[in-house]
Amino acid sequence: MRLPVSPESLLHALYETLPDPVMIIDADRKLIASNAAASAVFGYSAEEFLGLGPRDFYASIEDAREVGRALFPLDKATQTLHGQYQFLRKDGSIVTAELTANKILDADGKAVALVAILRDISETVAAREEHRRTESILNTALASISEGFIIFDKQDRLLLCNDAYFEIYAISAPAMRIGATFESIIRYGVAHGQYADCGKTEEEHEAWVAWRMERHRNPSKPYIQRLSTNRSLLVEERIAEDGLNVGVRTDVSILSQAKNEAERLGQIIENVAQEVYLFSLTKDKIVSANKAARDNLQYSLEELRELSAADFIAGSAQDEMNALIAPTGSAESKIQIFDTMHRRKDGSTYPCRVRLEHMEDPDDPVALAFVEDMTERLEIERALKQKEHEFETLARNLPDFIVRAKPDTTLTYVNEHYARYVGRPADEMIGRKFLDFVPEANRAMLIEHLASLSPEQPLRTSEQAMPSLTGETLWCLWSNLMVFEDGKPVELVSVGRDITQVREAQNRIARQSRELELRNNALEQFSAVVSHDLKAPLRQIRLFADMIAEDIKLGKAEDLATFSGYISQRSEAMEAMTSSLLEYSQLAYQRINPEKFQLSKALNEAWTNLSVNVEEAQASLIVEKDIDLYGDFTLLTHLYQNLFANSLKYRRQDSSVEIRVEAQTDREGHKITVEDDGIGIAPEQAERIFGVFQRLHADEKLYSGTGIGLALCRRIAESHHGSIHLDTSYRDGARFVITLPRQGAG
Amino acid sequence: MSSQQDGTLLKVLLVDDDPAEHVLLKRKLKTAEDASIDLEYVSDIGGAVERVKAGGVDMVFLDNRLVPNNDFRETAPQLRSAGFIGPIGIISSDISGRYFEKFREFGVDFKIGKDEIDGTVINFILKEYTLDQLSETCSEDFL
Repeated sequence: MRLPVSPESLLHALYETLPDPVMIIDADRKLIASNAAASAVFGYSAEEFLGLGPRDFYASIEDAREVGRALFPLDKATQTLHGQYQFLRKDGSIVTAELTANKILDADGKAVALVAILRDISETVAAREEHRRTESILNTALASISEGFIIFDKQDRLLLCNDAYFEIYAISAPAMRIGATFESIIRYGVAHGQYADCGKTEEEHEAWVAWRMERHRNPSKPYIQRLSTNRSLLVEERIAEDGLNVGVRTDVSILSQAKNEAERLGQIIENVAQEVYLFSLTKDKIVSANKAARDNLQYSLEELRELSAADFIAGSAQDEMNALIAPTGSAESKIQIFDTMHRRKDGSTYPCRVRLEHMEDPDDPVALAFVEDMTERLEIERALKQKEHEFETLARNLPDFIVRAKPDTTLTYVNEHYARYVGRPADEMIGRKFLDFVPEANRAMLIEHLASLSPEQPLRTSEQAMPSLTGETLWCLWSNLMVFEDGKPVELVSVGRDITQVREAQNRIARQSRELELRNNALEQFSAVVSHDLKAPLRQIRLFADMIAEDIKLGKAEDLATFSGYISQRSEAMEAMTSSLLEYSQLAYQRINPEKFQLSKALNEAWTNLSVNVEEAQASLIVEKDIDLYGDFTLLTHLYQNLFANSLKYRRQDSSVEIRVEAQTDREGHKITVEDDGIGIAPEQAERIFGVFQRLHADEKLYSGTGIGLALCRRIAESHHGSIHLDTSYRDGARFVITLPRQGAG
Repeated sequence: MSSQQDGTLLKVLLVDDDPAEHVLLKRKLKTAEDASIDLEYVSDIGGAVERVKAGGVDMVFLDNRLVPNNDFRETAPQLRSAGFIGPIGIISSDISGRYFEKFREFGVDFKIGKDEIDGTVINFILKEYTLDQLSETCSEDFL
């Protein structure tokens, strides 16, 4: 092709129109020519360029030296140079440019100059820098956000993934390499237990992977994915315009938990027995109401939402209701508690207590109302009051002492009976210590008693003697019950019962038991003695009779008189004993017929009955003092007669008998002594002589008798609640002391 | 064999405040075969103590109730205190009292009802005695 212009013209035109600076440098590195673009870029005029050296152009001396060493002197073999360097403009600013330098050869092929073309790449460098910086910011941003971020390319290969994503899918992390496919990553996760809902069997795994791939390829709404690490993720995926698949994972574990808890709370509120309402204060309408509220008011939620509070609060004026539910600014009045009546859909009403709390939301202020149906509670309170009244009536009328106190014995309640015992009004006793009213002697024991009460043994009882206001001793059985709550004492309840009569009865029974035991012992001894003393003569009579028969059979007669004499003697003894027993049984267990009489009368009667013996013994009776007695005249006469008979029987041989009777009466009763001047009784026999058939002398010829007289005396004295004993200190004979109660034989 | 090894008669002391019991026992001993014993009699415990102190008594039949004492618990120990180490047997018309159960505590070797005493029993007691001391078996047999 032939050009219409000369090559020089063309070069010149190119030289001048080239947008890049073109400069010609001679062998001395002096700029000898430049085009218009060079002036435009560097700010020098064509004239100013001439003569400028390399140091005037290069921003760094190192660049200038590098280029100089590469191209100069011009005869160096290097023909061309291409590199990126920074150059100084006239105004001192720096321009980055690609330098292309070629040597200009003369006709001989000798390099005479250099042509340098500079291509300003400042913008390109700046763009690169900006890109690098943007990429750095992006990476930093991706690394700093808590959400997991991942990008797959059109071939579904991993392109980008931030640290959070690695952290979220820690189990699958080894599979997350750049270039790895999404399917390979989730399969790795399934195989290693990354996902909570991917199933357990191979089939379930495959089905889950297929489902997941489908969602990944055709992403729609975000969904919640649960990981095996108890984390819940919000998975958001979308296909970008350039076909990239961008995924974001947000940890919503807390939100899920909060949502679950909120749902649970909502269910609880829905199902609690208490009525719960939410009012919109701006609209004066019910926003929501739980089941208890709906059931009790008999409205559906939709119906309730059409109602204002005044529609179902009976008897309240609208203004009053408005005042109640009006929003308030002060914290103190945010909660209001009031009693009112609710009206059901069928018109019936019920009492209720409302706790209204204002929620000061500036956008939509609401009031939350908790309503307690008081019907049952009021009935319980009425029943409780009735019970309290009944308790009070019961406590007032019970003969027991009833005391309630704090654990430190500070009284909180005393019944009238105890207050009367203490001698103070019940009201005055409240607030004082229980111990203040306990007899001094019993306080230490009560303190120890209360200290020993425990949750395991909260109740203890004790019997206490308490002086009454009248000075009598009252026996009281106290039951102290400490009430414990959570192991701590909260109240002391003490009940005291008057057991004085019971205790007296117990003492009486114990006394009677002791007496009965003594009588049984005496009866046992009596039986033994009777058995012995009656058997002995019978046996002898039988044996002597056998011996008589044997001797008669053998024709022997010399002992028959002796044997028969024994038989007679023993028969007489038997007869006397049986008579004595009869007498004893008749007198000893005879019913007492008490009467008032003078002692002297009984003594005279007894003495007269023994007149024959008295005469024989030449006895005399001296009565020092006469007193009035109350008892069975016949039995007491017999008592003195037996004592006199003993005195007459056991007299000193060849000596008259003097019997002296003395009597005195004091607070304890009568004391009568009967003493004689006979042979006396050894002190060691003082008790034995009162036994049945007890005789101290074997010599029947000298001192005859059955040994039953003193036993009878004791029996008669005891039947009159008195006693008889031998005065062992008396040495001049025998002295018996008889005691009888003043009130008689009772 | 109711006599001792050296041929002398056994000396048995009867202590009873009823002389008729002496008459009866003598008669029973007479009728008992081989009962070659010499029976002595005293009517009170004081006499019995004096007699055992004097020596020569081989065995004592002690009446349970000796006036003015209550029973053997007061009298038997007096014989032991006097140094008597031979067998003491309590005899009584009635040995049913509960206190008889403790007779050994009071130095008594055996007890026997007066009604039970006959020739056979006396022979048995004497044979037991002549073997050495009266064995416990003897007393047990008569419980």
